[in-house]
Amino acid sequence: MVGSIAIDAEYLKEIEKARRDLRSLISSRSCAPIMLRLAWHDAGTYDAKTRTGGPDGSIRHEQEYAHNANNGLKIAIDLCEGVKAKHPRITYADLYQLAGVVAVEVTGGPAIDFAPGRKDSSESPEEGRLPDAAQGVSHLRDIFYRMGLSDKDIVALSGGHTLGRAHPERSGYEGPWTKEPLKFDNSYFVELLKGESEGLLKLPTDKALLEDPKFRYYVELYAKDEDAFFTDYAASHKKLSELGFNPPSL
Amino acid sequence: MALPVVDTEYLKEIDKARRDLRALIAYKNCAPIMLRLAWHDAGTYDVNTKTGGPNGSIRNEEEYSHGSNNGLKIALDFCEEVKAKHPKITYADLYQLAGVVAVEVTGGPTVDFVPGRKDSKISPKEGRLPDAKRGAPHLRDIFYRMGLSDKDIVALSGGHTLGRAHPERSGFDGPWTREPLKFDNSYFVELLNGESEGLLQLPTDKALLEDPEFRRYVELYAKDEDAFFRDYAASHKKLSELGFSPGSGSKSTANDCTILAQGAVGVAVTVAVVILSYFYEVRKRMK
Repeated sequence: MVGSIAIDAEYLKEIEKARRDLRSLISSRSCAPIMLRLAWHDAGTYDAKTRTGGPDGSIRHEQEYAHNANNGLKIAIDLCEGVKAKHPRITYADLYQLAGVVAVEVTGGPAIDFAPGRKDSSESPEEGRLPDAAQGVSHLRDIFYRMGLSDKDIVALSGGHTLGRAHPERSGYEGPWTKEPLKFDNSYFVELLKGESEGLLKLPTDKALLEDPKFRYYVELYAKDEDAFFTDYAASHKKLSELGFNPPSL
Repeated sequence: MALPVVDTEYLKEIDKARRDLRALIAYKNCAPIMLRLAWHDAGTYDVNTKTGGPNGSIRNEEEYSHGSNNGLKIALDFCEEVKAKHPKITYADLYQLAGVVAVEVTGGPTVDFVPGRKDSKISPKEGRLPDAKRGAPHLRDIFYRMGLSDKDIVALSGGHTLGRAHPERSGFDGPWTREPLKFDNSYFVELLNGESEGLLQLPTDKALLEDPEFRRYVELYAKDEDAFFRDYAASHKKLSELGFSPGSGSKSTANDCTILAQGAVGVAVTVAVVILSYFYEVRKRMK
């Protein structure tokens, strides 16, 4: 599980200052996509049965950021160091999740509730807990159910591909999923239903969302109702950012 | 133009426009010019004649062609993209919302935003905005005319933490601070530092040091960023609401609610009387 630290009014003030610093950093460096991926890859190692992994800052250790699935994330870790230096009290675990929340906000996405107090861990899980883009429906369920997430979460969170692009030197895939990779909206789902499009990427795991009827139900909902996507996305993102974590009270 | 009706639909559109503005301003790194647009729409206010102010009039060519508005057509065009997706919201609200979001995404304080400004086609004459080449008495003339104070003058000058001046626009050149896309108190720190290679200080910036009242605030904000953020948020809100009465647009909704509530109370009272009389009758007959 993800331990918690004692938080006080001072800690909350530092969180708010870090939030503002992150807004400015993420906007001016146009790095919302990689910050979102950092938050997701720190949290997405959670195993609900063994209560290991999760949003605990462990991704900052070389033994973890050197995993294949984390290619390129050192960039985001280094960007966050600047903010950590100004606000040393806040944990890396909180910082990375806060960065993910701010990344969604400054690209026009929904507001995501953020509860601080995650404790940092130096233990990294073994490689292989994050999804393999080359696989399909049953693999997605294996990975996300292991975290304690649901079908709805799988589809809503996949909507995070509204931001950013894949890089040949990182994942081996290439290109953005949508026409505006720095704008958070429901266009990922619209494009998925449209089929192949010149210059836009669809991973095997993206296409899998169309092949399963339960997943497809959500894809069609989110493609026609952006408000529904934003509501579900905010809930799923919060859940992911708190896997194994019990937010402490003041 | 009548005041816009600020109902649930309008508020939803404002929230969507806010998100679109965040994405646009972050993506284009245009926070400084958006802040200037909001300021130049609002800063024409005259508290005595109740003319000018944040009413969208800056979109009229006659006004954006004023010398002090050089370059602002760029910001007007960015805002058109957002207006096209949310046609219901007034230009006046849109420009002020853009100013609030510009401060937010560059790491500044949260500025409270109340919607409901109406648009005007009437542009004030040129000359209501400050002339960068002047000094303290001029600043007081201009800002007191708006109904603002010494504290507002210094806090709002802190907006120069963002952006730069352009030779082809104002004639001046360069940023005031080392990070022109970061909203913080460094404008005041640099002002107290004196001349710095590559950084701009306008005559009106330097005037803040020459006047003891102004200087008091410069020194406070240079050493206490929280105090600057707090005062800036208050002054920015004030500026964005010059001549605007928040809540006056939703008066009709409030009246409807009151009438409905009064009606409901009347029905409830009648029902209670009927029931009580019935029991009274029943008791009488039982005796």
